[in-house]
Amino acid sequence: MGRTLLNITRAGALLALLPVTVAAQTKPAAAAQPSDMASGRRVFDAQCAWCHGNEGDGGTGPNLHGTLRHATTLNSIADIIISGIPGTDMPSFRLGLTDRSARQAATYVLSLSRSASRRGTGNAERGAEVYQTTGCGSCHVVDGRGGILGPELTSIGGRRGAVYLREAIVTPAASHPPGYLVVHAVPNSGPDIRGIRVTEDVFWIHIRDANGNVHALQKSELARVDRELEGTLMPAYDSRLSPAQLDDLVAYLATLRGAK
Amino acid sequence: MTNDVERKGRKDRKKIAMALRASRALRSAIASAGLKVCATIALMALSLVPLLAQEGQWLMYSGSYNSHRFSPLKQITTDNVAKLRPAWVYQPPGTGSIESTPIVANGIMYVTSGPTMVAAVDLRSGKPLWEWTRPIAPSVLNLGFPRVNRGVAILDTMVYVGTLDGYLFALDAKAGIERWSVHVGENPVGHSITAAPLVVDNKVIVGISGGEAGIRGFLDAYDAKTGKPAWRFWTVPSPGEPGSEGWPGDSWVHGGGATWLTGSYDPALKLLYWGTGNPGPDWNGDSRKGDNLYTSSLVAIDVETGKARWHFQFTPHDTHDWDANQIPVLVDTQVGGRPRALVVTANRNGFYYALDRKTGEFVFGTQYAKQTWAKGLDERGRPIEIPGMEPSEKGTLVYPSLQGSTNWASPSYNPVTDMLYVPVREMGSVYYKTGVEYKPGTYYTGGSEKRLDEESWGAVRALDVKTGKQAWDFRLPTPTWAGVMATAGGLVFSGSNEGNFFALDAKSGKPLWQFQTGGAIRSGPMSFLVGDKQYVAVAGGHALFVFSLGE
Repeated sequence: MGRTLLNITRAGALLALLPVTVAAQTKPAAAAQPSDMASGRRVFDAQCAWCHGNEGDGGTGPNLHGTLRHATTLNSIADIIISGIPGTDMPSFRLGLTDRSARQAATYVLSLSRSASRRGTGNAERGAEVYQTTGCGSCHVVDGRGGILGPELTSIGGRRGAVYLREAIVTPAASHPPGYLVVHAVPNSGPDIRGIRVTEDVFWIHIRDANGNVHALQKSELARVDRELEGTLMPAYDSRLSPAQLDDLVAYLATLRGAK
Repeated sequence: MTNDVERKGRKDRKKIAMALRASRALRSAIASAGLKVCATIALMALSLVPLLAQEGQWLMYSGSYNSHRFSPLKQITTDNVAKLRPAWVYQPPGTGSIESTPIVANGIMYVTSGPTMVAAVDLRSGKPLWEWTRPIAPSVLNLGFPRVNRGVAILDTMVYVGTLDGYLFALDAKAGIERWSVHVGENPVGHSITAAPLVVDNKVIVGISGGEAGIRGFLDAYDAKTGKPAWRFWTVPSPGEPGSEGWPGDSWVHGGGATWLTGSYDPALKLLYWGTGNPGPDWNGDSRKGDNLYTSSLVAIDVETGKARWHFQFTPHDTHDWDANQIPVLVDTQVGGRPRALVVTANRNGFYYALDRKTGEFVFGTQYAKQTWAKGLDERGRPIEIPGMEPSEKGTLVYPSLQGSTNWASPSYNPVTDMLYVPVREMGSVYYKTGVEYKPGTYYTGGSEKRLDEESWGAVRALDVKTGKQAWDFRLPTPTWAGVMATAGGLVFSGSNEGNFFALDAKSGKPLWQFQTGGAIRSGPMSFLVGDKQYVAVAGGHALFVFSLGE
């Protein structure tokens, strides 16, 4: 949380450097006005940077530089901002943004998509080798192959930005992939069980341990259950990979855009 | 069922006499959960059916006019609840989820599902006798809430239901055929009805939704027989009226104050107690500097005239969407050794309030859930706000989240333990403020929130009604949407987003029984008799589950 709020604060600092403009135009012209761009950036900093990164180069949401997967025109980008993308983490902003604000944000996003991404120095082909030799596939699935302990990565490059991917490898505990909360159950008798929470209701909790076994536990038989919000089953790879290998691996993951 | 009840009634001449008196005088329902007032309602045109949960019925959304949601039935107890088993399950047509509390009258259950469907279900077999569906086109707006319906009202031979597209229908209780309908609000500008109406004094009282669409809120009363309008109470005053000084310029026109949940009624005072929603725009208060009466308030309305007798505003100039629509609970108890007629409520803003229900006087208030926006309440109950907690462009972290410390899920009051059982949501949000412009039929909110999902949780929380102090807390994995019902069997029933329907010991909060319904519980449990046997019902997901004691 602290990290994310820090991002907001940084976005705010950036904001202060921008000229404050009042967008007076109301006609729904496709042509972007300079004021739309500035207002759009303000909206982006406040509403979009949380996931897409302060510079739009991705975070928990995808990189917006280069060709966008779901929309390529001002209208279609504005539609996505208003309606969201079903089946993804992209929410609808119908509640919070007026049509005009959404169009302004779309103007800025369109400009991002037309500017080149700040390219990483990694080599994706060498990164694929790093993926194989490091054993990532023992816990992650790509294109139907691999283990199930960690999140599937088949389309991870389309859903997460490079900054997030790098951080997830170096400091996995900070990555918080949804559905992979680590819990630690202490039964009234018998050994502790630590693993991924598969499902939980008021009376039961199901935990997948590091061997992939699912334990169905009745809470009344547990002394306690700790939710490890900063926990992970994934080892940190900062010391296991060279800086070049890390760049390559991130470059490879960024190319994963869905099953071929 | 009717005959059974009539037979019982004949055995008790005193009760019948009282029923007749009450019927002639009021023809309205009065119920005080078997405590001090035992009055009745004329349900059938020619036969009197006492409106008492003792008789095994559940005649209105909150069970009784005082909204205790307390069932005096006590066959199911702390000792035998472990034997509770499903008796039958009803699945309505369509794919809408059930957020309704069923009504049971004359041996029939009336239950609704979304967007707008009413079913009359036979209590013994679980078979629907009729199903009435209002065709709701995809273009019908539901700005700020799901496409749901939360229940019906009943009087004599008619069942009353509001529709997502803004109408009130009277249906024949036996056949589900339309008797009359009125157009309550314009859906194309955001009006909808999701709340169960309330029948009082031959009037159908119905509230309106649309607080995120820039409506001007109101509460309506219609003649129960004909649908003829009786009165309308505007929750936002027009220029020159009391309270209008808190609405600069024409901000009152889209001032919000929706009345989207069912209120309560005190038949002795002839006062309706109705909660009002957030002011509009929700999160950007720049255009409406002032207190914005009567939004985020409780209003006591004379049922004869439709005029407010008093009001109490919980959150003046609200900028966090903290509606005050939560069910007001009418309680007679001792405060400081003195008997008090109170209306109590656990508010969305994190504070519990006890008000004198005759005068609206603030008796006391106290924090009952995590909140970071106020230092406390002053001697008149007004919040002492902490500066800088308004939504901002950069985002402002505040507890509770915009859905509040509690929401529309109903609390329950047990007069034996003198505890209020509150469904609690422990969650914070980062609140954003954005620009806003009014465009008919679109959101008029001026902001948004980012919820802190990971660190959130829920609870059924028992509060001592006299002090607001927590007696016990039963923790839930996520912030709850399930209503609560206490029973004379010493039990507290509620549910979870994870599908659990459970019974707790009313004294300790200890879980005694649970059943996994397979769908999120976003409805209120209720209880009734079939013959002499007690049943408990709750909706989970798209189905209604009915339970009774197994052998």
